[in-house]
Amino acid sequence: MSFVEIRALRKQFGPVTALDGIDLDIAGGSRTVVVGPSGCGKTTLLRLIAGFEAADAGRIAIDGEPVVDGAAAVPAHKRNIGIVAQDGCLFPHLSVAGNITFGMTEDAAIRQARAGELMEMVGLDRSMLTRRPDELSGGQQQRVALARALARKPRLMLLDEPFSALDTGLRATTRKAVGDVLRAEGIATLLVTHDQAEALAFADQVAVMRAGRLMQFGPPREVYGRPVDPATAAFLGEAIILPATIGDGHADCALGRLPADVANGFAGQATIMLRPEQIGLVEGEGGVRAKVAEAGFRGSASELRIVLCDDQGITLTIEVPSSRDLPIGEEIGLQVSGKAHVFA
Amino acid sequence: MTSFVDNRPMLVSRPWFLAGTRGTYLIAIVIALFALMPLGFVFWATAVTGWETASQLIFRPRVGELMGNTLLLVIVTVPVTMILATVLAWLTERSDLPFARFWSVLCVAPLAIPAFVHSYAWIGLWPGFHGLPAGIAISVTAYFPFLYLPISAALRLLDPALEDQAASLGLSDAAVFRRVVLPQLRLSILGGGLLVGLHLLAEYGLYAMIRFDTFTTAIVDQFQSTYNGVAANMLALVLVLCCLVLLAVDAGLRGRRRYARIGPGVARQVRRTSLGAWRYPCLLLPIAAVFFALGVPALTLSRWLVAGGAAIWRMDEIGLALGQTLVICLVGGLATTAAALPIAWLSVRRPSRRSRVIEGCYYLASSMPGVVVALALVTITVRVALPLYQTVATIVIAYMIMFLPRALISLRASIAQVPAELEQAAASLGRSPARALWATTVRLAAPGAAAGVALSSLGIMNELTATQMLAPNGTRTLAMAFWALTSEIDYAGAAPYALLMILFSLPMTALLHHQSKKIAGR
Repeated sequence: MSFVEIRALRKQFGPVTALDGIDLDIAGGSRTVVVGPSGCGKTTLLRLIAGFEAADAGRIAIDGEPVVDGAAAVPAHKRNIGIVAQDGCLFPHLSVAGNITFGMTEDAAIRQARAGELMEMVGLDRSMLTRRPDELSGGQQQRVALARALARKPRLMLLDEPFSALDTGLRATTRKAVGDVLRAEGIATLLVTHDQAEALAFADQVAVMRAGRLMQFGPPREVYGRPVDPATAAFLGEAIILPATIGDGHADCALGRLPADVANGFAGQATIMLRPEQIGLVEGEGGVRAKVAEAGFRGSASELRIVLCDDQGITLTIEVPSSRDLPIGEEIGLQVSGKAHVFA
Repeated sequence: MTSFVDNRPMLVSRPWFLAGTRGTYLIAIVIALFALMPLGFVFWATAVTGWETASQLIFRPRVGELMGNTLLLVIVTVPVTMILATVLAWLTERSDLPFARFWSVLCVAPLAIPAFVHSYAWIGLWPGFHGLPAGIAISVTAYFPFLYLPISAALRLLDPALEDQAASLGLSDAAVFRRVVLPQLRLSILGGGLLVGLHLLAEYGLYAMIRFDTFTTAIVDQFQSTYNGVAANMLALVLVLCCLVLLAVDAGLRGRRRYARIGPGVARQVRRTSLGAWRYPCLLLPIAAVFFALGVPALTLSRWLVAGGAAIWRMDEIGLALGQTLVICLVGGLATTAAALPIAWLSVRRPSRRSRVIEGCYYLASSMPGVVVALALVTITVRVALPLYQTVATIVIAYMIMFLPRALISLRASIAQVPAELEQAAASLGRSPARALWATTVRLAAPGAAAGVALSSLGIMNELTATQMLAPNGTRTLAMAFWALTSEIDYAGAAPYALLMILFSLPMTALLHHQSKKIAGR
């Protein structure tokens, strides 16, 4: 049995259906990322798990103990679930130490000692304990928020886009630091984000949401390489979507005959997906012929928009190392590696 | 002969944006010196009197009695008002109390009723109600809106995410209120409490009518009966010291720390706490508060108006008083707002230590009771500027000193909303600094200035103490006429004046309520 069990969870805000029957299982000690465009209901899901909102229907159980069962719910303060919010949400009237020890019930001396340990755990200096939240940088605020949530040894940690307010460099390092601390503590974590790159980098399991529904749930590689539909494919990264005829474990499309991940001996018309990194250039006259229509220089790589010579109606966007200088109008040969993904 | 040099832009040694700042400072400082005159006068009068006479006049049983009365009044009324206003604000803003919006308007409405009309209303219903209990009860009903307004605004501004966060850290609702909500309301509660305390020290009419002696009533009596300057001055000294102690206590409790809201997160709509079975019993509190603060004045007034019939509407006298009141309010309001303009602009556009000190002077000056301001201006005009004694100019200066912060707050908020870049854009399009200021900030801040005029006019309309002592001969404002008639026990005849004061205050009270909502972003 999984650590967190969510069954048929529903929530409406007036006429808007925020959650339309969500089923989700989170394994103990794992990292799960819920990803989706804004407004897809992912924050509502998190707030229901935390106990900040009441569900309309459905069930949430943590470690076998139900916390939401239809309209009945355990109040937020009795769930022992930690949460780190988007802006850190530190109490402005308390110092860093006051924030970290806020939820602790031990004696003052133990609290102070533990606050110091927690500061070190999240990679901050103990001397910062006396500071005020507004004297910290954004990344430091997030680390303090994490320390505050860890102080109560929560059984589940919820992260509500905690890195999105940070600038790019800081985002990656803070994310790694937070992830490492949570893994070391063995706390199951649920991260909510709209940033697909962050989701793929952080997760053991990715849950893709759209319009209040869970579209797909699985390991990052699986979700990225074998998305359930074209919209999910496009949300998780650049995708080349082509019509194809399937037969004999292969797909016949504008890029030729490609091996496909087709199941059950399916044959007939279907839509397939390739990721841009599956497409490479071949030297000489071989491969599928195409012409460069636009070229954008991106530093280490160039982004090319190309038109197939045989079928002028099909344009693709691919990335090539920028060391190859390809002027507009140049004819090139393409080669596909790996399998094409067939949408069922 | 004109040289070509004349056609080049003149080089100014200081950057253009500093031009005009010095002149503005000068005006602001001169106004500050005027404002501090009453405070300076009290200490000067003490020095002139000499220690021996002063100590004889200060350390006597009568002063001890007044001190006891005043202290008890402040010590009981301020905390009771704080608790009442906080509970009411929480009920109307954060609980599922039935008709919460309606109660929130009714909790602000008593601001339209002058404090002395409250005691007029109470003794109309309970003629035997006198002394300290009456003083406390009437003060609480008259002044709780002063605290309700800022506390409910602060409650609306709180970020509900902080409360969610506290709940996730294991705090029950009650603990969240105590450890997260209350600390963030602290500044509003203290600020409102200080305001109420200063009003308690300065109010004359409310306590005179129920025959409860405070320093202010004693000074006015002294001034009116014997014109014994020294005795009144020494009482004023003690009163001023009381005000200063109150300011110091407030500053001490407040601390230096302001709570900045961190993070850019958009505040979520607040969730109202369900009162459950208490939902209807909780209605008793707003009902009781509104009954005493609005119902009692309404009952008394309608009783006298019905009993008096048409006979009490002596339109010639009422018309005259109304006309004089409106003129004095308008002139005073305009002058006060004009006086606030330099410091409002400086404190927003050129914030510095110096501008904060000047601003502090205005706040300090306005916390002096009207009776002290009047006493100072009477003495000063009689001694050094007799032609100004009992003229409109003197009374307008008194209003300026007393009500400048009201205009300042509105002005500052509206100037702060005009981006400084607009001034710079106007300058880049060839306007001089003064004309750039006029074309952008002044135009756009006009609604704030109008609100400033309205709020200071409201104060002036209901002002009694200083107006009585300073008004030119033959002047009879609504408040003065009301007071004169109640002193002759013509309660029915006074009713139309009370009604008019309330009617004219209502729009401005609505404005105050609206402003507090706007601050909260709704």
